[in-house]
Amino acid sequence: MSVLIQDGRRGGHLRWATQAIGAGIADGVLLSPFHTPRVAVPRHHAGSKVADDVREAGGEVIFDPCTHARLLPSSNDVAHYDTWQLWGPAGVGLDVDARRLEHLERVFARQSELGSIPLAPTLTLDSPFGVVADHALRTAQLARGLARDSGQSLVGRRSFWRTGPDLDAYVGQLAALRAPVWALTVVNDIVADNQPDLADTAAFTGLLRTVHSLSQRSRVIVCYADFAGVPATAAGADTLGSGWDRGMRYFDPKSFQITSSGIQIPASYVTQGRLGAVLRRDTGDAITRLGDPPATGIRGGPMPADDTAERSHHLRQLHTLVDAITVHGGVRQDRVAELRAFYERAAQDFDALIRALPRRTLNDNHRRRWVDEPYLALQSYAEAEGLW
Amino acid sequence: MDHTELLEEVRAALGTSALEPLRVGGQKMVYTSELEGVPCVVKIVPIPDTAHSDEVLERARREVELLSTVESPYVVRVLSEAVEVGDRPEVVCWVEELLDGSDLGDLMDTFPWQPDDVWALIKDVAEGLNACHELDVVHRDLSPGNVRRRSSGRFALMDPGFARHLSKTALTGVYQPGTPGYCSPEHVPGGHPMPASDIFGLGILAFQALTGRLPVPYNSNEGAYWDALRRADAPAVKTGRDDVPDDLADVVDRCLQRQAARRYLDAAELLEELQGFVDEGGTT
Repeated sequence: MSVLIQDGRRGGHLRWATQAIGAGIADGVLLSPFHTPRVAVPRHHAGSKVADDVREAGGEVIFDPCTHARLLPSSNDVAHYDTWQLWGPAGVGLDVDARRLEHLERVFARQSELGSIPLAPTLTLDSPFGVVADHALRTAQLARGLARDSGQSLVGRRSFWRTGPDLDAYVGQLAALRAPVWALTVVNDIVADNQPDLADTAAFTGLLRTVHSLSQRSRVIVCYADFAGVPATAAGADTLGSGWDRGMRYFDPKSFQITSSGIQIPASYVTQGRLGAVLRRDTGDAITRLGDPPATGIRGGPMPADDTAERSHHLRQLHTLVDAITVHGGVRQDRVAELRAFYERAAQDFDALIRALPRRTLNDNHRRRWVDEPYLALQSYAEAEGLW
Repeated sequence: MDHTELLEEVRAALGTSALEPLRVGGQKMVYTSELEGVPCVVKIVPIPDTAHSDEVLERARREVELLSTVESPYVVRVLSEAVEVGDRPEVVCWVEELLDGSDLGDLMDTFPWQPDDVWALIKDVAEGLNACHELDVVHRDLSPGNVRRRSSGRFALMDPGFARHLSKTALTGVYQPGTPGYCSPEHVPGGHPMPASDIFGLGILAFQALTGRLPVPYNSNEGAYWDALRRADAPAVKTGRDDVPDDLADVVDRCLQRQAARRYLDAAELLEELQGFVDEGGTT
């Protein structure tokens, strides 16, 4: 496994997902109750139909209950969500055992109906201390009690991931549950643009350290990851969540709000595979004008003619990079070395392009967001682990 | 009640023969005796006439309850219930089997040990811990005074006086007991004990037996000690002794991982790894 498609709202989602799986550039889907209803409605297939079609295409189906999103104060787009009936008479919340148990039983039942692995719900954490962290831990323990083979989820804002030894201690308690699968998510409070934000090196170092620890015994999936999640594959993750819209590549609270300004369609972007970056189409055109072979090499293939071609092109570039890292198996030193070399080459390519193109088209800020900050997170993690 | 009268009441309550002092002092008085003609140990815990009396009594009861539940040749057996003596009561006492040999604490001048002896230490203590971990019990105070080397050369686990059932552990942080120099990162105030904490403790004993020194030494500065446990990685055992076999060094180093998630999670996982070495002909 390497790339799972996060759920999305667009009408063509299922068709595009199964086509990508059939083409070998995605390996399955992460279903969300927010985006796929349990019962079919106009323009949206029922969850069972989606699961059947994805499996028929040869893909894996994981139903992520997205409880951490449901319990964000801002989440109110529950039209599809409520069709899943994931909460019992005790009410919504993971603050008492009665609610936890009712929710867990319903989540596991839905996952079983869909043929998904059991994946326990969790809460969004700001800190490894305090009542919310305790509730999340208790929920995870109950989930294991109900389903010994249950996968587990760990979701936190940057403030959670940057807590150093306190994060490690919390992860130690979770690791004792021996979950066969871990689904990790970095929650953004706001997603301002279509670029990764790994400026908080300490937080992403914490994420990578956690991936390293959990992947010693378990499969680790990093959700809403896209290119920003690639360092996690160097640390031991084997699967990233991605897709074609902004809300699939980054955990964006707006994806769960009815006040959302609408679907973010990255039609005006083109993925530059050798840069590990998604740049505006006009920047892609400018790179193309520099001539071949450099342009095609940097892009990783021919210029995608339209949105459909870009969806495939993006997944292919991401999949290829993830495969190049995970092919090293459990040898983290080699995984890190592979990605380090990728970033160092990408930095050189960026520098050459920045010199060749107008500053308004491409500049150091692009390089910083796509290469320098992920590289720093990788370096910080790897140096601490003696892998650099 | 004077001391002589107290001992006589203890002897009568437990049904043993006369009590001979073995170790008196600290939180526990230990005597040798006989129960129905079989040599045994009588342990007596004074109950202070303070606000902590209930806590001391509960801890003693827990130790006896745990020992009576655990069935393992690698854990000392309890031969009676916990009996309270005196009106307040003044002491709680019970009978345990008498183990021959010496506590690890009395053998520290024989360190460093040969690798085969350390393999035996790790395996036997892991067996004893496994008997506890299977019951969701964490020992929490693995130290040289709580491990005994029998005359047969095998080891047994003793004194789980601070042991705790995981299901009864509060989620919020509380102070954890432990012996300075032999604590795990989870012993740091606010931490949560778990089976992997005992694994760290076993790693300390193995490291010390191999090198004669502690991996995370305690220098009478509690704050510095807690900080080192939380933030610093223990040195690789080969930095203290370069002739330690690779497989033994790997086991000890993994036991001593600062992050619990990177250790053996419990004694069963450690024993599984050791069995793999045995299958390959690597350990005793």
